[in-house]
Amino acid sequence: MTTFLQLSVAGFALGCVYALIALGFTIVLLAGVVNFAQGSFMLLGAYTVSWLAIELKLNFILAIVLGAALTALTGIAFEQFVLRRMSARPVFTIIMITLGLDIIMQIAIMGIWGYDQRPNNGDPFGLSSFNVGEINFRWADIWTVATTIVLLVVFFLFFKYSKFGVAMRATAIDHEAAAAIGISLPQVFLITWAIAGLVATVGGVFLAASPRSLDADLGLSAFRAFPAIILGGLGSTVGAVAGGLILGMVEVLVGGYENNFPFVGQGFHSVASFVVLLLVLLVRPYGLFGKKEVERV
Amino acid sequence: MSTKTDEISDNQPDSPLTETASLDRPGPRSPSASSNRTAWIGWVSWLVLAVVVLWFPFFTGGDRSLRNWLVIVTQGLIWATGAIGLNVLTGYTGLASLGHSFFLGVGAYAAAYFGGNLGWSFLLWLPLSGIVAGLVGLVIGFLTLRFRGLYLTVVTLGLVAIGIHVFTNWKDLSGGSSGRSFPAPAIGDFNWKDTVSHLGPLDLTRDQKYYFLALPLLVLVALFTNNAMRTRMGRAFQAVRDREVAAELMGINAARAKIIAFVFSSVLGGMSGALFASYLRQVQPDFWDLNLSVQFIAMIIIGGIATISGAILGAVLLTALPEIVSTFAEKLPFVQHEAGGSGLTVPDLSRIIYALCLALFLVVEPGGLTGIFRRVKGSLFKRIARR
Repeated sequence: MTTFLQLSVAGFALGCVYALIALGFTIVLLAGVVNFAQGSFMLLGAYTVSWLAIELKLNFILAIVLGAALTALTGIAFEQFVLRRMSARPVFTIIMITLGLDIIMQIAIMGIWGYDQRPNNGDPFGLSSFNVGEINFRWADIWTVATTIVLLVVFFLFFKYSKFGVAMRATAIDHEAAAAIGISLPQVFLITWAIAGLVATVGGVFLAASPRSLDADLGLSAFRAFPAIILGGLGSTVGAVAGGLILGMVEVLVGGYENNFPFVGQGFHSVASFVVLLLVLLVRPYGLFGKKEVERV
Repeated sequence: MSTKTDEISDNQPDSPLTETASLDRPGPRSPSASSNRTAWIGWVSWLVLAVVVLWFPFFTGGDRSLRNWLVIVTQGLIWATGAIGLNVLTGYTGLASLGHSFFLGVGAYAAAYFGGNLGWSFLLWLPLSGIVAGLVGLVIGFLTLRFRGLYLTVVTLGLVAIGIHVFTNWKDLSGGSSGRSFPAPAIGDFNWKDTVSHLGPLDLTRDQKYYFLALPLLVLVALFTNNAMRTRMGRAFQAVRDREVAAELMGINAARAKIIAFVFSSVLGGMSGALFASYLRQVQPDFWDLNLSVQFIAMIIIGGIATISGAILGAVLLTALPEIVSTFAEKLPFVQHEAGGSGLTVPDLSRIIYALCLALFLVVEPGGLTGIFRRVKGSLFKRIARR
């Protein structure tokens, strides 16, 4: 039982990170872009924060804000110069373009900061922890969960009640109709990428928090969070968060217990999310919260 | 009438060219002399291509400095078979799959099992690698039938991840994370191992032998696929791609078409993967990763989506890209010239160029190289015909 609770704590923390990644992907998707470069945006954010906090000795919070700003700016630039002209193209075209961007960004980041693992991602928590009963809580996990909850609450209030949030949702339903009633699409895209940059950076920083590390593989972890988007149902922000939480729990729990089941093989936790996704989709082909797409003929 | 295209004006009865031509071949639509001329140009260019393709391995094979080019072109020809397979699935049927490297891997390990572990003949293990991959494709095609668009893409992304996991953990088959060796083909006494073989008057090196193995296979596959895409089934694939509901209304069984497309593509992928692994000799399980899938999609996009020649062109060009880049890289200032120096490494630079090409083609020329070629050829032929 202790093991289970212990794993659940870590799983919930990882789930929060996945929820952030999935949320970032989903809101960009609502603005009409399938962003497979999400992993590189995370890398960019996390490396910038680490560099600002360690090399330039900036305040950690300030570093995160600046990192998020840089990530958001990159996204906005990409949207402006490339994706703006691609809006009428098939989904797969946009996927391939963003995958191309992913490759370029990753090499650029590695070219700037090197392929070596960075010693520390600049967070102030390190490996410090405290015990409640027999369960060990790491401060990094606590901060991950707390930050994620705050971010999510702010985001959902913003998304539901603010003028911009309503504009974002309207744009998600129909770009043209939204523009026709006077919603400024450039403004919506700007806000969307700003939020995406923030959640990517925060997600990247926490994903790189000890005992995990900051290196090129961080970008691959974003792909592990991808099933979350589908698991919850495409285009559903609540679904993305729920999917992320579920998959984080699954990954850590499977990682903790996989040695008892040798037939699943070593490292099964890294593909567990995809297996769960397949199983869920076989029962519900549009995810847990998704609606069946109705096609007009 | 005068504003119609040149094609029509060529066939007008008052054209002096048409009269002479119609003497040779009378008929309701008499071919003009100019179309005879373009057909003639077509035959000559095919002949030139054939000569170049047959001459290439002898030109590059003997020379040590040119051997690299033979190696990469051979690899490109092997990959081209798999790229045609992916083109059937993604280009012709419109199913966007990131899972092609999984099928390549399945084919390779099937070859390793039948050819390596069981020691069966090459004439058995090459078809079997396609058949096993095809059977897996059948199952996957059936399971993924309900997904489309982004759902399918992410599910096939998962397929690659799960595939690497299975390959890595199935140690008897894959040799674990350090990889295993793959069988060399052999027909009778003639084998594709290291030694130089004699075939009639020719002495063939290992690379040349693989070249002349990949080439006929590719030609067969290309001709077969080209024809298959014009049959009822091939047209059904394209109808499903263009509008699935409309295709179903016309009486096409879309589910069947999709599953067949999956099987078709994985059979070709499996054989391609088997040959490639055999050519590389030793392959680790994580060779069959997402990057490889993306590279295959890049091949068909850069070459020209939904064309056979595009898949071949894209496969050869993309495989050759690192070599091309390293040839030119020596003159570039921002490239690393010695290990550990500053600047980009050559593999990184070639990956950037390939990603840029991918994005650029998608934005500017979705028809790929074949699209550009067709346009150039069209305007060129028009000019020749007008003379």
